[in-house]
Formats: sequence, structure tokens, C-alpha cells
Amino acid sequence: MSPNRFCSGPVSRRSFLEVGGLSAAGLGLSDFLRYEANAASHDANHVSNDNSVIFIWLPGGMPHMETYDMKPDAPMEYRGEFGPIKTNVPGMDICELLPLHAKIADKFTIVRSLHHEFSDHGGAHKRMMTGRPPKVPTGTVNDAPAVTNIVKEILGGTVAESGMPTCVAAVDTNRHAVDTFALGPAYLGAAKTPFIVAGDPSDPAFKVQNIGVKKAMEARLEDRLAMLKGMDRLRREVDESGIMEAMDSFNSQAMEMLTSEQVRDAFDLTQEDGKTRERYGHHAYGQRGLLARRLVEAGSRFVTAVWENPTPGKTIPKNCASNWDSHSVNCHIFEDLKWRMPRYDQALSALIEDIYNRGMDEKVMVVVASDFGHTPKINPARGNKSKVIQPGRDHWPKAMSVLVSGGNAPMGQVIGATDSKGEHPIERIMTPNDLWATVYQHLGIDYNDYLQNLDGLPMQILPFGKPIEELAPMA
Amino acid sequence: MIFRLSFFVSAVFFAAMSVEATEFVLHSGTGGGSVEIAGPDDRAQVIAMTKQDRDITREVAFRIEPSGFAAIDSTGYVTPLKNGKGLIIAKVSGEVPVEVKAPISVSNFETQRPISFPNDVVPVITRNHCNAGACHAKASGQNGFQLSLLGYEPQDDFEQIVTHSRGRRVTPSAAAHSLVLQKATGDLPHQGGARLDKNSADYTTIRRWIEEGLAYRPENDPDIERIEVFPKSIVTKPGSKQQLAVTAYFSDGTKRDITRLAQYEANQPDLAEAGESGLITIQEKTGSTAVLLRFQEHIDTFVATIPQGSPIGNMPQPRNFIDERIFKQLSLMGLPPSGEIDDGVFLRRVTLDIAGRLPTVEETEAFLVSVDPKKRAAKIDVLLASPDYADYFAGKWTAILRNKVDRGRDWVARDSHAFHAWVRTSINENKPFDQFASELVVASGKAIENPAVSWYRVVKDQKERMENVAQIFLGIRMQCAQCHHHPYEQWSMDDYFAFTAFFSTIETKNIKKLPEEDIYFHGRKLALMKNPASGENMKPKLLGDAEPLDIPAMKDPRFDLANWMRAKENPYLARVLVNRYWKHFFSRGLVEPEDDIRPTNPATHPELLEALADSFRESNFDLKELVRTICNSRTYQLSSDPNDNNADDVQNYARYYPKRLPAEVLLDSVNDITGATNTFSRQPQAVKAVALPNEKGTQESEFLMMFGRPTMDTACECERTGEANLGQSLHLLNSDTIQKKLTASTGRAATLAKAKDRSDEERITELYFQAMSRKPDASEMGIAQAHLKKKRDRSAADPKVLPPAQAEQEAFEDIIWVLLNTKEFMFNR
Repeated sequence: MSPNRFCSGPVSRRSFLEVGGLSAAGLGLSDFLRYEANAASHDANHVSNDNSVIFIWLPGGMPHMETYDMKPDAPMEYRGEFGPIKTNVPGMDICELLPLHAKIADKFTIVRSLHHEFSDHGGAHKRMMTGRPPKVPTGTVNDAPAVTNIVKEILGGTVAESGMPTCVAAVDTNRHAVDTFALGPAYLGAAKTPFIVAGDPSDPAFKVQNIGVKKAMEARLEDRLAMLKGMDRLRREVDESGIMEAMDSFNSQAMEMLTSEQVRDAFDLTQEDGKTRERYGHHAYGQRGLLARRLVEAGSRFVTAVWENPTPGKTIPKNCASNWDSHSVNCHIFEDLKWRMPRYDQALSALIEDIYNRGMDEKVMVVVASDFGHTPKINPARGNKSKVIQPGRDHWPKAMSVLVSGGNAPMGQVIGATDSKGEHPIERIMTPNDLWATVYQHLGIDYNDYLQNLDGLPMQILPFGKPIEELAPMA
Repeated sequence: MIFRLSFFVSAVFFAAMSVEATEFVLHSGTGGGSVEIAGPDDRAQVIAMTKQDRDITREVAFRIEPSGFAAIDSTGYVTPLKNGKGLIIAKVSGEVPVEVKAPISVSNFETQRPISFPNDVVPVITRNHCNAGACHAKASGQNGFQLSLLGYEPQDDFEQIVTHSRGRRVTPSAAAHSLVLQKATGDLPHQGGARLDKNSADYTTIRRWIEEGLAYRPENDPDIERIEVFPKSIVTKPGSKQQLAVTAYFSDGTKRDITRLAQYEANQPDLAEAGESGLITIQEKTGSTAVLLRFQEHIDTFVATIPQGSPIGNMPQPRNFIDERIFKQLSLMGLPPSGEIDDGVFLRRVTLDIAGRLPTVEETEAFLVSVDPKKRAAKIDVLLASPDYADYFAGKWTAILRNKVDRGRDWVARDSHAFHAWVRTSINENKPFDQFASELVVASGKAIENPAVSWYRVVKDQKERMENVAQIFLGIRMQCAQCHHHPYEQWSMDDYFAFTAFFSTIETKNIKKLPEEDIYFHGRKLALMKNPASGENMKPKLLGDAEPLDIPAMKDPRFDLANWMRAKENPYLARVLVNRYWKHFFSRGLVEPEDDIRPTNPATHPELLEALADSFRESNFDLKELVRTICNSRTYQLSSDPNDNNADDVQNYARYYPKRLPAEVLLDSVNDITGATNTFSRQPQAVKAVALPNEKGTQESEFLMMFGRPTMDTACECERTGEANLGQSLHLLNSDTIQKKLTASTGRAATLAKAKDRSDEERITELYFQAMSRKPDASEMGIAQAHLKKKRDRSAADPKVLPPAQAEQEAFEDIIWVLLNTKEFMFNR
């Protein structure tokens, strides 16, 4: 290996890393394809494990003052209606709406001191998902790839051993567009979008798009493939660019996904026993959490589970909202949480317990985050639907809590703190990038490495931030 | 300037040689009739080349006579030992030994030249990658120590090393204990590892500079004016090696050998790798490639051509100047071209490339039966006159001109429709390209009256406007020069901001209620743009000009820019356009990427690129004529099927390189074969995907997104991707979208199933005509017929489970599914 390796990366990418890769931009398509087709070849140097991440996303913003950062001594207009309860970790109090959490607090760690500067859902989504301050503070179309796209770029589209898609994002029906939650790949291109599973897995009619083959179609697909074998005869040797070869390889991967029992089963929740499904809860949060566990168990590396509406398709109770955006105009925040949080508590505690019970906690890291926290001070106003004055909280990126579980990291910790009213972090002040550095470290991805944007400029995977040291993997 | 040192080989000696003798000559970079070393730190690289241009430097035995005043090693590298004069003698042993001699002198050995920070220290830093973009030249530096990228700002680097961090980085009293050296050698922990060997010349240079008292530069220290590599280009064999020699020319008239001080960067390491001492290793591949050499901000390029050397046989007769140059290069490379395509492949290829669609069944039938000897040229004309041509190329241009609606409301959609219409009309009318470019660059007013101005709505930042115009219309990527001297080009930060100044006077008047009436206009002020590094306000200066323009405040500076761009002597506009169009038809630009044209990224066929550009200018920037020239060439009409000797060719056009259909064309083609149509919001029912005006279509269609239609975020064609991915496979193989297209009651499968009066052969042939523009062969016909029979048999066996009509329709659906999943369908081959 050349002596330049440390700073400059593998020799073939040296020029690119030096100054911005204009010459590397001259690489043929085939080179890019080889990256894609050979999956892990991109940066084999950096990838050293088969760890995975379940990323639970709570769009709209998790109210930190009603979950993991209670301020019982703050004034009434701050502390809200709910009180703290003790957990099985002395001193680690959480909201009374999370009794199931309280029993397993030794299996998660809370970080109370994240913050950023984007107070619009769009900007905050982009800020959180990409690890970069977005160019435009609103809108959810990324100008830089989301972390999940980068993971797919580095680790490849499918996991070689299992045929599983590397990155999956599970969302509600009609929330499947990549831009909805700022999961757009920007300059990495559409191929780097996660495999999107839309629909409520607790719905008996739930089916994964393009993966399940209907019974009636099975025989026909067999006929079709047999014919295709005979009729797809253009020699791929005519194409030196490698695209034809890549297509053939993706076609067989696709067929494997379509026909592989392992892959199909991974998406099939009916394989779980009734008790387990019950434990997660028969709602979108619970079953999507269970789906995420099944996927990482089968080999996926980065599963985003968006927990938005806990019961999609059903009538949302009076004074409640479809997502976590608990302004008073949208909902009565306390009514909303009384409906939402038991489902959240059930689903997340089930997921964490399940991961530990199965001994997956060293390899799997569960991360729960949202666009931002909510205003520590309650801002009552007239509800759009209720037409009466009701309590609510607005957007608050200046302080937010996140939860991490597993990942071979020390659990039962509270990292960082906010001030007495929950307004600003005062200890271990961190940005979302420190969380991402922790995640990349867990996945064995060198976040100091560079990708190349369409101008040929080198883009550091994570422009700043370092792993949260309290979450350093245990020896 | 290169000095050949061969004259010491005597004529008598040549006469005595047998045929086996290796004739060769000695070269040095600094030359001048002799290797002249003028100081203890000077060095010289000597290269031995045969008459056939083969480098044998590492095969000859070098010696210097008399011995003792200079040493030469086995790589031809000369180090002085004391003053003296003599001869370098290079000997090839073997049956007929040959000796070649060159004079050498060493002078001034007693006078050591003091070290210059910019001329001596910075190159050492650059060579050892300390100031690479990933290390200390990161925007944030590395662990508190920040250097300028590739040493472009030596004054800043000097301050960083000498005064920053309270001066603790250098210790003149004990130079070897300086932090910079201890870190660089790895004596102290250094994240970048050990970069310098204590015994190396590089280490000595830095140590001496510290010992000498940390001067920025000695008195009368000359500037470097240019660097030059020898040899400039070679034609060589796979697996060979070539030693380079690089010379720096100084402002005081002196020159120095910098072979082991320059930095080398191979454009395609899989063709040629560049070692740090200037030794190029040609890999086991054929083609042509370049190596970039860099010293300070100076650059030069070495080009290696590695022919394959296969027998050519009968080269086809050139049909136009494209063929002449392509075939000439094929002869040189020893790459026999593939044969000519048949009429069906030609029709499909040219229809897809010009009109962005498949030929219809009727068109195919008519073309195949026509006996007109000029039918191919006539077809090209027909396609160029068709509205499909305008649709297709308008889509191409609106993508790089970034016709985005973005998050805008209806009014912006109207804006973007108007812009698309303006582009489409320009292409349809065959507006001279220089006029088109000029109309865009100088656009003023309201978008509803002058749609071209809509470009200024999307591209809002002055710098981005300049960068986009430079990239799209000049083929120059200026982006790098915003923050530092361009690492691959002559452009400085001053050039960047002076060129941006042309866009510095544009102002906008927002009409809040009727935003499509927003007005863009020249603000009647002096065009000035501040270079934030120097703080200097730059006046508009055209690229390559020495002096800025004096443009009065009343005059919109963009007119000067546009006039310069479209002037007949302007090399850029025509060159990038023909390269862009060449790539459209041939999958690969003569320069790659197509919009990054610079001396350090040479064209595979430089003469052809210039000939195309000249012809384009002479035609008065006639786009249709350019397409005609390309499509009528034999080169364009070569088969993609490789012969025994050209399968590996990827840059000489020995055969046509197949390309996957672009997203829009593929979607329309899937519709054509299935009989389905598109539905897009705010678009006419059954709109063709190639006719979609803005990025909304991409966002609305999973298909277009998946297959890489751009969302128009950049001016780079590279935003459109033709790569394969798993999602595409799943989509084509198993999506509801495709299944719906196949099963539509008005679709082709349903129609064919009902057409019982037509024979199976006839119906299957129709499908092949539509999909592939050819008849099925016997085996394909057999497979399809067997499938029809199988379905009918199943139905006959149990008509309740599978009614006959359903069996018939399913059979055709299956056949169509198979066709659209073949590579032949998805590719233009």
C-alpha cells in the first residue's frame, strides 16, 4: 500500500481526494456501476462489521418535556400536565406516559442535549437526515444525501449473504415519496434511495410493493422467466460499459428477492408468533417496529421506521393529530399524547426488549430521533378542529432528546442536560452530527471519508461531529 | 524545448552497426547541448530513448567519465559531487554493444542557493500530500494546522508554519526538533503517519530552510513562468514504462530539472500509472490517456497512446471528415472497425437518438421495403424535421438549463412551461446555437414576455449563474477557482470573480401579486465583483484576457460577454457544443466529462474535435446540420457487435457503444409496446415523457426517478444517470405499474388477443417490429408460438379456470412482458 494511504485513501481515488476529483469525474459509468454491483467494494477498507441500525423517526418532533427530559420543577406553563416516574435505573426519571420504558431503562441511554438551528419541519428534516445544514431552511428536498443514502452508497444496494436490501424505509401509505421525510439522495442519484415499504404492517392486507408475488402470478412469472431466458439474447459483450452486466446481475438479485423465501419471509410478519406481535402492539408503531427487527435480523443494515400516525386509516380521536406536530392549532397536546404515547411506549419497549432477548443488542443499534423538540413553554391557542383554546407546543430545535439502545454501547445513562426550563442544553452540548458519527462508527463507516458531488467536489461524509464518547462500544 | 544529445554518436559507429543493434539517443529536460548542473542542489534526469521511441533508460548502463565529479544512478538521475566536466556514457550491452555519449558539466558546486519557501518548501509539502484536500488543506485544517490547497497560497502557508500556534511549529536553533519535521517523520504521533524519510531530499530541504532562518524567499528569488515535460506524448506498448523529465523555467532565464519535485497525477490509472519519480507504467490495456504534472500552480500534460496493433484489413471508405479522422485513429491503434448495421438497426438507432422514440410498426415496415439508396440520409432529414426532435432535445436542454418549478406555485409552473416552449421553439426552428446562447445570457424583462429570463429565476446566485454559463456554454468548470486556484486549469480566483462580474449588475423587481411579471434587468451600475480573498473589487474580464473591460454603468455587461462567446474566434462555445452532441450520439464525449474541456483533460481525437467545432461555426451554429453530419457518418452506422479484435475498445469508436434508453424514452417505449399512455398532472392526457417541461414529472413518476431522469438541480449532464439498479429490476419485473400497462383493456395485448383474424406469426411479428424494428428469428417465433399454444391448451383443459379469451390475452401480456425486459429493448444498440 502506498505511503499516502492514510490521508488520501486508496490510490485509485487519490486524485479525487486531493482536490475535488475532476479527474475522477472522468471515470466511466462502468466504474460507478462496479461500485454498485460489487456492493462493498467502495470502501472495503473502512467496512469492518455487519452491524445494523434501526432508526425510528418521529416526524413532527418528539416533545422532550413529555418524554425523556422532564422538568417537574419548572413553572406550570412549562412543565405541562404529566409528571416524571422512576425507572429501574436510579436517577433516570422519565415521563409517566412511559411505564414500560421505566422497566427497561437499563437497556437504553438518553441524550438530552442535541440542538440545531432549523425550526421549520422541512429544514429540520433535512438537517437531521443529512447531517448538514441545508441550503434552504424549508422544504424536504435534500441538497445533500441523507445518511441512509450514504450507507447504501458505501455498503452497496443489497447485502451479499442474504440478498436483503441494505437500506429500507418503512412508512405509512402515501408517504412513500423519498422527499416526504427528506430521504432524497441528492447527488448520489435515485439508485441510492432506500427500499421503501409503504403501508401499515398491522393491516391484515399489508403487502410489500414489488416484492410479494401474487399467487396467481407465480406460475405466470415462471413462464415469463423461462421465455425471457430464451429471448433475451443480446450478448452483453456488446456493452463494455458494464451496464448490461449490472442489469443482469440486478435482475437476478431481484428475482432472488422475489423468489427467495428468506427475503420474502423477512417482510412477512405472519411468521412471528402471536404473542410477539401482541407484545409490539397491533398498530402501525408496533408492527413497523417488529418489521424493522425482522429486517435487520435477516441482514438489512439500516432500517428507517417512520412512526407517524399510530393508527393510519382509522379516525384520529378528537383533539389529536396524525403526527407529532403538537401545536395547539393541531391538537390538544396532552390529549394527543395520552392517545399516542401508550402505543409508542409499547412499541419501543417491545423492540428494545426483543433485541436484547435475542442477543442482538451488540450488533443492532436502535436510535430514536425526530426533527426537533417542542417549545418548553406551552403556547395555548384555538384548535383548528376543536375551535376551543387548548394547550400545545411549537417547534424547538434549540433542545431535543434522542434515545439510543444497544449497539454494544453502555446503557442506562443520561447524557447531557438542558437548563431548568428545558430550553437550552447546558451540558454536553451536541449537534445531530455527533449522533450520526456514533451511528457511522457503529456501522464501521469512516465518516471522514469523502464522496463526490456532481461538480466533482469532495463532500465529507460528515462535515463535522464526533462519536458520542459515552456511547463508545464496550470492549 | 528539448535538446537532443545524440550528436556524440559518430557516423562511423552507425555504419558499423548490424541490424540487431539498438539505436538510441539521450535526452535531458534542461538540455542545452549538455547536462549543465549549476549548483549543489541541482539535479538532472537523463532519458534514453530508442529511435522507435521506446524508453530504455532502465536498460542501459550509465557511467560518467571522468568519474568523481557527478554520479548517475541506474534510473538516469544525475547528482553533482564537485565542479567538473565530462561525458555521460550510456551503454546497451548484447551482441552488438552500443554506446551513446552526452556532455555534462557541474559548476558553482561551492555556492549553495538559499532555500525559497514558495519555490522549494511548498513543492515538498505538495508532493507529500500534506496540503491535500483531505488533510491539512481541509476547510477546517487538520488538528489546528491548516495549509492552502496544493500550496496555492504560499504566503498563508508560510505564516501558518512560522508564526501561528505561537511559533512552536519550527525551531531554527534545533531544526531537526521542529514540530513540523517531527510530525512529518512520525517521530511524534501524527494522524497522517510518517510522510518524510529523514534521509530524503525532501526532508533536507525543509530542515535547511529552518536552519537558514525561515526566510520567505531569498533576494532575487525568481518566479516560475512555466513547466514543461519531456516527452510530451508517446505511442507505446502495453506493459511498457516511460521515464519523464520535467523542467521549470524561471523569470530570470534559468531553468531547473524538477522531475523529482513535481507532482504526477494519472487521469486513468487503469491505463497508465504515474510514480513519484516521474516513471510512468503503462498498464496491460490499450487506448490513450494523459498524466497531469503539477508544480505550484503550473501544469503540463503527458499523453500516452497505447495501440492494440491488430491487423486492420480493409478499412471502410470514409463518408465525411468524421470518418476520416476516426478511421485514421483506428489504423494507428490497430483496431479493426465492426461492420455496418442493417436497415432495421439503423432505423431504430437513429429514431431513438434524434426523435427520442421507437420507430412505429408502419415506419419500420416502410423503411425495410424501401429500395431508395439514399433512404438513410432521407430518414435523418425527416426525423430532424419532426416535432419529436424538438421535444427530445428540448428535454435535454431544459434539464441542464434547470427549468425547475421547485416549490413554486402555479405561476412558476407557467413560467417553466414558457421557458420550455422557448427552448423547444428554438430547437424546432433551428435557431443558430450562438443566438440561442446569447438570448439566454442577456435575457432581461418579464418571463411572460421573454421566457429566456426564467433561467435567472431558477439560477439566482451570481456566482452560480457564471458557473452554469461557463459549464454549459464554454465547457469550463470554474467552480474550483471560487476558493483557490483551479488545480487543473489556468484559472485563478481573480479570474473567477472577474468573470462573475459580468452577472453582477442584474437586479430583480418582484411583483408580489403577479410573480410571473417579476422583472430582471441591468441595474445601471458599474459591474464589479469582490474577490473575498484579496478584498479587491474585480472588473469584468473575459476568460483568457489579460486586462479587464471598461464597461460604463449604463451598459449591461452581459452584452460584451455574449458577443465574446459567439465571436467566430471564440474557441469555447462551438467546442463544448459539438462535444456534448457527439456524446449524445456516441455515448462518450471526445472529451469526458463532456463539459470539462481543458488542456489537462485531452480529447481522444483532438483534431476531430476541432474539425467538428470548425464545421459547426462555419455552418453558422446549425444544430440540425451537426446532427446530420454525425448521423450520416459511417462511424455512427457501425455495428455494436464486436469483432475478434475490438471488443475492449471504449474510446476509439471501432464499434457503436450501446446505450440504455434514457428514462423518458424508456417510459415512452414501454407505453408504445404495451399500448398504454402517460398521465401527468398539469399536462395533456397521454403526454410523452420526453415532452415533460420541468422537474415535476420526475418527482411524480417512480419510473422516471428510478431510471434516472434528472430533477434539474445542476447544469451537469451527469445528473442524468443511466446506471442500473435493483429498484429498476424490481419495477420492470414485478411492479403493479407495469402490470397495469400490460393488462389495460385498450392495450396492445388486449387488442392483439382479440384480433383473431390475424395469424400468430403476424401478431408476433408486429410486436418485434414495434420493440426491436426487426422480424423475430425462427427461435424467437417458436418460443412465442409455443407460449400461445401452452396457454390455449391450458384453457382447453379447464376453460372454467382459464377462459379462452383470458388465456389469449395473458399469453400476449406475457410475450410483451418478456420483450420489454430484454436488453435489446432497453438499449439503443
